[in-house]
Amino acid sequence: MAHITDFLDPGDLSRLANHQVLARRVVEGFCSGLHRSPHKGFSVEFKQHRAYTPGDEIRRLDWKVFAKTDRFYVREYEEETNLRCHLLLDASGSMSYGSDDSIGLSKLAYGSRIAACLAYLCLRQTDSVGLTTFDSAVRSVVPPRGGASHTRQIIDLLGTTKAGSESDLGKVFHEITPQLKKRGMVVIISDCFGNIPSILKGLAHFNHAKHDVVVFQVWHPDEIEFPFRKWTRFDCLENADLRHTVDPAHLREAYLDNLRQYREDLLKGCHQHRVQLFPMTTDEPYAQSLASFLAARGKVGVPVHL
Amino acid sequence: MSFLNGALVLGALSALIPLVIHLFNRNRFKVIKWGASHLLESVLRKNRKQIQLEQWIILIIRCAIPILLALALARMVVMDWNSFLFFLVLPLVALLFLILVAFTKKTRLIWGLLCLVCLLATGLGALGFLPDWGKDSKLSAASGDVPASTVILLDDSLSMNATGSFAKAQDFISGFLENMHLQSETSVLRLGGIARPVFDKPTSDPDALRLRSENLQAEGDRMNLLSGLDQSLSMIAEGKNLKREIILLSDFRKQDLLGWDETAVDALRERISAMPNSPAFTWVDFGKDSSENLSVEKVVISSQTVGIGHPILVRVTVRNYGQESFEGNLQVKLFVDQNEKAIDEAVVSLGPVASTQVAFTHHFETAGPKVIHAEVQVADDLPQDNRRSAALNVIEQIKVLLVDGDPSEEWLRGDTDFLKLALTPFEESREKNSKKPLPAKGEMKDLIRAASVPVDEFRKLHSLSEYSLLILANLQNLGSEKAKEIEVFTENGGGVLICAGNQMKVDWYNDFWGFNGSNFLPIPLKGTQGQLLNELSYSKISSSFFEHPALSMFNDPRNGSLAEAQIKKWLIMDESKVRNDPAVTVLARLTNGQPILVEKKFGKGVVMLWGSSIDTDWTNLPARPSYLPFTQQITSYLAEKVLPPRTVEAQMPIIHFINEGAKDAEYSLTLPDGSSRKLIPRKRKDRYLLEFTDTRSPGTYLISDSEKVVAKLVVLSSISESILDKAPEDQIVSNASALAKDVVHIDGREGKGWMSYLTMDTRRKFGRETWQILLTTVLGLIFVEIILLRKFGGLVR
Repeated sequence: MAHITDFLDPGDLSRLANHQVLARRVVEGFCSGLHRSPHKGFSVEFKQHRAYTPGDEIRRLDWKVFAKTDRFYVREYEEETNLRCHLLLDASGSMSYGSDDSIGLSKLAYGSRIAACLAYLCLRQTDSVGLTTFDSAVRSVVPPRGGASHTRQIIDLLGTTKAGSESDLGKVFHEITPQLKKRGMVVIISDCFGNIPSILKGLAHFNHAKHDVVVFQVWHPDEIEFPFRKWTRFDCLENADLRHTVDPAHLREAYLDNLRQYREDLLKGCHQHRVQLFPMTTDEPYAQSLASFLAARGKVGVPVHL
Repeated sequence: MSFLNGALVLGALSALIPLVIHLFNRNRFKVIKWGASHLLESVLRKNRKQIQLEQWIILIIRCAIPILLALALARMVVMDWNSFLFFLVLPLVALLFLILVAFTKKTRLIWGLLCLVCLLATGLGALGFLPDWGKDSKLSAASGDVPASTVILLDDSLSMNATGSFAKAQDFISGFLENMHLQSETSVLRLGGIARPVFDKPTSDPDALRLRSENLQAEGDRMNLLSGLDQSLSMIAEGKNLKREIILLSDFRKQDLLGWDETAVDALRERISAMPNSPAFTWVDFGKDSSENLSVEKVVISSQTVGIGHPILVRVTVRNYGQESFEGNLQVKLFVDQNEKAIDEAVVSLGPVASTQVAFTHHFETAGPKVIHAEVQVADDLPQDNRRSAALNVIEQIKVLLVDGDPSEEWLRGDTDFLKLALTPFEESREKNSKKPLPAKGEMKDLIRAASVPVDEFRKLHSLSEYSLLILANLQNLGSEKAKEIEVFTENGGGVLICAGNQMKVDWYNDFWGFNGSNFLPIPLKGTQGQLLNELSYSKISSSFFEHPALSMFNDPRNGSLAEAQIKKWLIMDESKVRNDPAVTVLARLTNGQPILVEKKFGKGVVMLWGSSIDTDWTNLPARPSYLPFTQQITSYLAEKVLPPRTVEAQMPIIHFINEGAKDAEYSLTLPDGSSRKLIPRKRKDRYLLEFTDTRSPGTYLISDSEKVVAKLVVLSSISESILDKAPEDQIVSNASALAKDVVHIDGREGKGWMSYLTMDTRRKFGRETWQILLTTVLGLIFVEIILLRKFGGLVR
């Protein structure tokens, strides 16, 4: 049975202890927490008046304003709700890259640590966390719940997750969106390899459902630098039939150009859909990456990306 | 197209190295399980053909570099524009178009087509399907501006002296060397007799070569053109220059072109045509018609060793090759040693194209080596052959001791009487005719001085050292002391001849001198065979070919035959025991196969065993005419061995034997031209000798030690050189064309050979070396490869 220390180093945890996961957008919840809730309650802090529309509860009418203005206004209150955090971990074949190199940390392992870390942080601040793993379809789901004991389920699922086959992010995102009944924060941990328009459509779907979407794009340094020199056969991790024997030095520039264009397109698309894209490479410590992300996130309105 | 260093063309195989490296790398790839396949896939999908093209271009350039480098090192020569175009320009242009295909998008089809056209043209041109455009326009500067490798074949045979041909040939060489290009290399090969270069290696120093050439003399034997050509081809094949030429300077006498070996000519022609850069041939004729020539054809002396006062007969043959007739007005003179006053002269008549003989007799008053010259006194076209020489040695007497085992008071009854008579005929005749006075100084006397002693006196004799030879005739036995003394005498270089007879005790000889004794006897004896009384029972000496020098004169039947003598009784010799002894030689056998004359080398001397009697007891040989030469030959052989000839033809080695005691002295040889060489005695088999093989120049060679001249030897020029008949023009041309095509003939008879050559040479053109172009191309390709490696990879995304 997996243990939280398999994924998280106590040192790393202590480093992140002072950070809180803050949803930049207002999310729904049912118990009070650190997050603003769009639900206007009775008791808490007055927020605004709003013109009455048929269907509003009569008891929420502000009679004092009616007396002064002869118009119906409804009182709205701001209530602090708890955060519902949905962690979506990409377990496709391409995520397994890097398991046999010197760093020894595959992208999936790195993503798992990020997921574990976020889950731990959320549960610690009494928010509820759920985890979904997927490749071309949803593979396992742990529904969002609060409470310290929920860590166990998350960790268990992370422990059993292995890299699978092909990924189709757009399709999976469309599949997942209806399952997230309440609004919350959607954290996607993936390398985002695939058809960019399809991925962006999936992200737009999340956005449309009023989720606060964050994408942790996990890179392996090899994928960014393409440091190969000798003749190499590249075997596709997601499709066993795809093999290319090439002289990588010859291809490097074209590959890097292609990569740059791909990243630009993805970033631009994410901006359009108000999705926060946070690229990270497996050679930098995940705690540090996460800390910088959380620190930036604490300052509302500051976009967090590299 | 040809190559100056043909073997280095194989270096082009190194083009396989980049190919092998490429294939090796392709097979030794690394496998990476790759996630971002979609990024790679799109690059590959769009650029697969471009990548392949770029890799092909790089591979072609990498393979082309070693090929071109090998061609540059092999010093490729293109003879005309045609090969230059098809083998160098078009392939490079095709490569250029291929590179343009890789770098362009819209026009790549045009470049590709042009590339294909170039390749097609190269292929068709190489296979000969395209017209030989540019084949006639030679790629070269004028001949005079091109450095050349030249071999000048100079006929320095004796006939070149006639009508000043040799001087004209030397003028030609001087002119050639004066105008020699700075980087040219030239060899002069002397053709007379054995072809020999003036310098061992081609030289670029015209002054040194001119100096040597001007000092050359035409005194060689008949020109050996084929062997000279063979040698010159080997020399020219190593020539470092593109322009190669073999120039033959000769008088082209009939004799020079006689007896050409067809197979040798064929072999030479094939060799010339197989040469990658075959030389140009130029034959310059310096031989004017000249027919008036007389020569001393032969000088024959009766013996090459003669005693003081002995008459020596000199037979001189004079030949007239011309049409002039001499009616009792042709003077022939005889000289001795240096050109002092003539010692004898004769006047003879000689008709046109005829020969005559003149005989002279002369006797010498002093001992030592001598040379006799005969000279015909006439002014003709070739004065160099009017004198001819012969060498001989005048000696004191040989002292021989004859030991008679069965002496008798009666004349010719003693065992050594016949022998003494045969060895000293003059003395014997004088004794019989006692009125005759003793010979005066310089008068003829016996070469051998023989003293005969009975065996009893011999036993008392104190010293044998004054004798050269000891003949033991029919000795019963000897005291051990005397026998030992004889062994020591032989060991020190003396000769012993043991002759059989009725007194001889075979057992004593076997016991004392046989295997169990001192092993002095040449062969063990087993008794005697034959019957004296039966007239019909006898054997004879087998008249086979005598290899041994002591008997070789009997190979000529004019000197008599040993086989005519009847041997009635002889010793049986046990040959089986000495068959493997290299010191023992059987000189003669009987017709029944048994040995009759056996010699054995013992120490420094020789002991010889004659198996029958030396008088008439057992054989009638002493009564035969061959007895005298037989005993004289055996005696002189045993006394001083056989001497090598002192008069030899040119190019035959001259040899002089020396005694072992004189082997440490310093010897020098004076050549006919006055120069001198040091000679070192060598040991060959059992004797020391001085040998000199470079007898190219005819004349007198003197061998001297530190004190005096010890030998005079004469080297004769070939008599064929005296025949001055000019070869007909068409024969010269047909002989030349049998060897090589396009032989240029130049007439140098009027002394204008060099000018004609120069005029001809300025019109010639030779191919062009391409190593500079190839090297530049290689550097260019390396540069292009570096650029391309940087430029390639900018693929479509």
